[in-house]
Amino acid sequence: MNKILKRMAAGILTGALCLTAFAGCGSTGSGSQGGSSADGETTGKKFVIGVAEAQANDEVTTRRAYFENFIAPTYNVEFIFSEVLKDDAAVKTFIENCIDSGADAIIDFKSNSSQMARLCEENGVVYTVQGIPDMAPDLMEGEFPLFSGWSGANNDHLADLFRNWLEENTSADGSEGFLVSTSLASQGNVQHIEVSRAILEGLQEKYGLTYEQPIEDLVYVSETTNVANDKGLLITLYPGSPNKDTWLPGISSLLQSGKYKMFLSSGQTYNQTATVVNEVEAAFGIDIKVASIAAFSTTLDTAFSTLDPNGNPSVDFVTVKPSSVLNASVFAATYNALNGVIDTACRDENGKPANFRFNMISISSPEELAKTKGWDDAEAGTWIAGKEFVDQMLVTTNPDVTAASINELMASVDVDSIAEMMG
Amino acid sequence: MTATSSANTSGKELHLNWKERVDVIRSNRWFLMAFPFAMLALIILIFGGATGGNFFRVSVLKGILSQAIIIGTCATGVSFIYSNGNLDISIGAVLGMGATLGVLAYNATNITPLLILVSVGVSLGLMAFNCTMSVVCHIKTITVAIVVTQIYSAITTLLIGGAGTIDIAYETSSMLEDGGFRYIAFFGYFILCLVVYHFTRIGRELRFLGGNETCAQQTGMSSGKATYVSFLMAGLGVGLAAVFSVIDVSAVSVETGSGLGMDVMLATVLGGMSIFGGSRSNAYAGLIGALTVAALNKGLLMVGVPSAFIQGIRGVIFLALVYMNSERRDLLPSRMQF
Amino acid sequence: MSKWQDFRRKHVLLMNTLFTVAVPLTVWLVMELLDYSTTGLHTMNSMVDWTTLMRNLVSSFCFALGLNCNMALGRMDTSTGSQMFLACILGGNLALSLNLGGVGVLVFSMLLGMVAGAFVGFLFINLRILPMVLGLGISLVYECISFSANNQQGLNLFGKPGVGILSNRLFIIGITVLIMLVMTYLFQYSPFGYKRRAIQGNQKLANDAGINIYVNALLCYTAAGALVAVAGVFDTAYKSNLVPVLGMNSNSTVFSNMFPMAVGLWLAKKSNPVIGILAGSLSVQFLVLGLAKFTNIGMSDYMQTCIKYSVWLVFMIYRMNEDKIQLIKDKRARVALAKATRAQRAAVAA
Repeated sequence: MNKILKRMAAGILTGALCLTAFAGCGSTGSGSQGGSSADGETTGKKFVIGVAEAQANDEVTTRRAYFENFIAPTYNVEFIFSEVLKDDAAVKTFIENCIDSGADAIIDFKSNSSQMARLCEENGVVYTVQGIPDMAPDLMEGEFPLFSGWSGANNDHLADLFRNWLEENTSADGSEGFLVSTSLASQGNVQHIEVSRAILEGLQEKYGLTYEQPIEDLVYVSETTNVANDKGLLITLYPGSPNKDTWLPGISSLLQSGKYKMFLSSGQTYNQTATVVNEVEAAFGIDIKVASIAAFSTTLDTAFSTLDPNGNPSVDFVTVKPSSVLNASVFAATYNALNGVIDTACRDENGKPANFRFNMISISSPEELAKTKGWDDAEAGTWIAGKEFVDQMLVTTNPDVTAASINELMASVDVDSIAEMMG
Repeated sequence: MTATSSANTSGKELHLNWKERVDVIRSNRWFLMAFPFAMLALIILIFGGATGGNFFRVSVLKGILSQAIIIGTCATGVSFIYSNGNLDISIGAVLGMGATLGVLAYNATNITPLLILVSVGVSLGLMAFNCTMSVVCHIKTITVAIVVTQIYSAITTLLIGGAGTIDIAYETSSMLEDGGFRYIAFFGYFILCLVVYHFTRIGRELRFLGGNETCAQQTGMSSGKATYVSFLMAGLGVGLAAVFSVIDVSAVSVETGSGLGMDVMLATVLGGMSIFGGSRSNAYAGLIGALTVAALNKGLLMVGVPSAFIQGIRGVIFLALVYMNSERRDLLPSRMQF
Repeated sequence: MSKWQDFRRKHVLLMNTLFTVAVPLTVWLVMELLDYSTTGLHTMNSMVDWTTLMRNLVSSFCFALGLNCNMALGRMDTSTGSQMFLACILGGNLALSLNLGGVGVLVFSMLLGMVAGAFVGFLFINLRILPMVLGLGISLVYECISFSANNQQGLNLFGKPGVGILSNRLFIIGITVLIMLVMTYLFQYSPFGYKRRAIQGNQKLANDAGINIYVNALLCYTAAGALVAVAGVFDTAYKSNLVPVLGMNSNSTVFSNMFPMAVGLWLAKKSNPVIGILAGSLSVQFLVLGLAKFTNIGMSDYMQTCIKYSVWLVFMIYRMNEDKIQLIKDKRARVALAKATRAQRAAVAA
């Protein structure tokens, strides 16, 4: 009996090994086929691009589908995706492994570091980053001929979106109290820093506030902090990782104080906090408005279609990243650099690495969300940044392309223009 | 006459089926020693073939060694802890805190040796604290490790604050890198560990204590002293690894060292060492395991295995290798940890 | 014998009950005092806190109990966290796709948890790899599967029809009582439990006595899988969704739940492991909720983590040296008695 069991165990292990190995090979195979499919542009050399990822969420899943299913076959490139990279050392290891695998370029969604740029430079590999230049002055000032620039959200526009929403949904005197979850901004998460800054700027503009500390310092606080301001408004910054046991009870505790009617989150946490917010609303009979960052997903559909105890959607306002536009811009910067036009297509008017910015989309009702149905839908393969859009950003299809023209194109993306593009 | 008949009897007894023969080979100590090396060589050969020879390039092999250094250094040190039957998974947090205080000290003074001294000193101090909790307060080392990992990580986060990362001047890290500090320090430490572990009385005592603590104590060996030595040797390694990690990316962040404890345990076991120590322990298992993990990661990526599957494949290979390299016990293996 | 000692001897059950209740009560009282004096808030400030407490309590209790299934026998299964992820993501989504609501999510997750646990047990008794090492390998594989399943979306319970019952206080109490009854029977009164305790005492002797240690181990792993799946469902009900993890991050769930288990096993000396672990989990939940109130005066979650684990460390120092403290107390009592006797004799002699 024991022998039979042991053989079965050995068989299962071997089988699992073979299955996973074959699954891997199968998937790679399909990736290659996708890369060489005939309907795309062919530029002779098939470029290999490594993509370093920091997390695994809706946005990353969508990005993967966009790159693998659309960009790779259309533009004859191949992608190598990383596992979730914990720190800069892991990013470095991934880049080294990509270089050994013959990668021509790296798109880095994790670190924003001159060290990685230097490593790419030494190996003749193009380097592109998602992030903001302010956080990497070395990259801005240093000599990195193969660094093609940054891509990310237009922070001013994001602040405008929050400010406009606050304008319509808050009292004139700001007496409702604002709880701002800065999430992992204190640990250097680029997106959380950008959004926290945008929220604080939005509040500042709406109420004409003067903060005692600079916003640059406030977004990095690692302890729950009341933002001191000249008008005495209650604005509390709540940093921390949603993965910690203590994070959610902390939010609950603050909301239960009854001082906050606005909960603004810099991370995609509207779903994690939904139960807590609903319970506090039901128990205390208050209405807490929730604003957050989101990605197009079924989770977002559910959030808008689920009503809280006051009959409002469980999330009141989200800013959604048009994921494919960001991905198109990092790809375009990388691809243009690979095609030898880094000096024109990836440099600003001062000759510095380009800073590509896209506009976030705001959604504040189920009706507005319904309009976006099918946008960046990985399953249907319907992308905001489709072929026509991407072609305008690439030197192979638009020889006159410059960093300014790419930024112009990206700035033109809003709800109306997307609706027009998507038909 | 007696000898001949005995040989004949042995011949009959030795008529074993293939499975028993495999078991005999598997339990041979030379096989157990050679197996991790053979597996490493086999992995390199398989990936070499699968990548059309690309995997044999010097730059690739050098890359594997370079990537294995941090885990290898920690794993070499940690094998001292494992050898007398203790466990410690807090080394990632220790490394993070050592590196953070080292960088803070360096940035305050601009004295490069201070970076190394503070990193190593802090790591030694923290490992000594862990050990004291175990030896003096009688808490199992694994429990201490679980608790202090969270405490050290939280303190490190509070120390770093701000943007979650502190940079050091690239010139400093590149000077240390170009001067070969990493390789010199690593091999120096590795040789020290080999000598202490295999050629000194303390090394033998550690293995004896891991094999049979009661028996070892009855022969006059001090478990407490040996535990301190093992933790301090590990602390030295973790301190050096902290410096290597700073040199590697010219910075320290709140994520530095996260998850390292489990990676090191994985590497050590893959290198052929029992995490419960004993006579089969050795000081080089960590390095071999770290090289195997680095080769696997690089190889799987180079042959184009999608990232979502890499971890799963690594898990299956890990279990298969550990199964092949472990002694099959009559009863179920167990060890009280709480 | 003093009157107090006499009373204690006569009312063992009452004393044991008081001991088991005293620890969570003390933790609550201390946190209440600290919270009220520093923040002006109560530890249990509203019904929201009670709901949170109950949901987190059943989650923590089930997970710690699941860990204890194997831990007590010297098997530290580091894969229980990944079993939880696998069971909840596969089982929960299957139940949701069949529109079975919260109860369906719970049942299907439990079933998948049993399968996931049984598979680990099956591998363990056949491969005979050290449980901790086996757990590492299994974590890597299970995390990979649960990450790839459901398009990397994990399990999302918020807004799903019928899952509100998972936050219903009566339902939570019912499930907790049911689990307590089933596990008390299994651990304390069933043939499986007797054999498990025999193996806990000495595996070799138990094996020689004819107990099938392999089947027992398989059942332990299966029960652990089911329990951690229940824990995962209630945890997800609180956090709204369960996001899959990679890189052995599921281990952090295992390690954090060792605290209630450690406290519970200490309390179990005056009751049984099931009641002990429930009281231990309650104590830890009071601590966590009490610390959360300090957020109102600016304490970061890192500092709260630091305090929580420091309390664990102090508790472990006490627990591991309890016998020495008792020895010192006994010695003092002996010295006092000797002095008193000597004084008495001197008085008599005088």
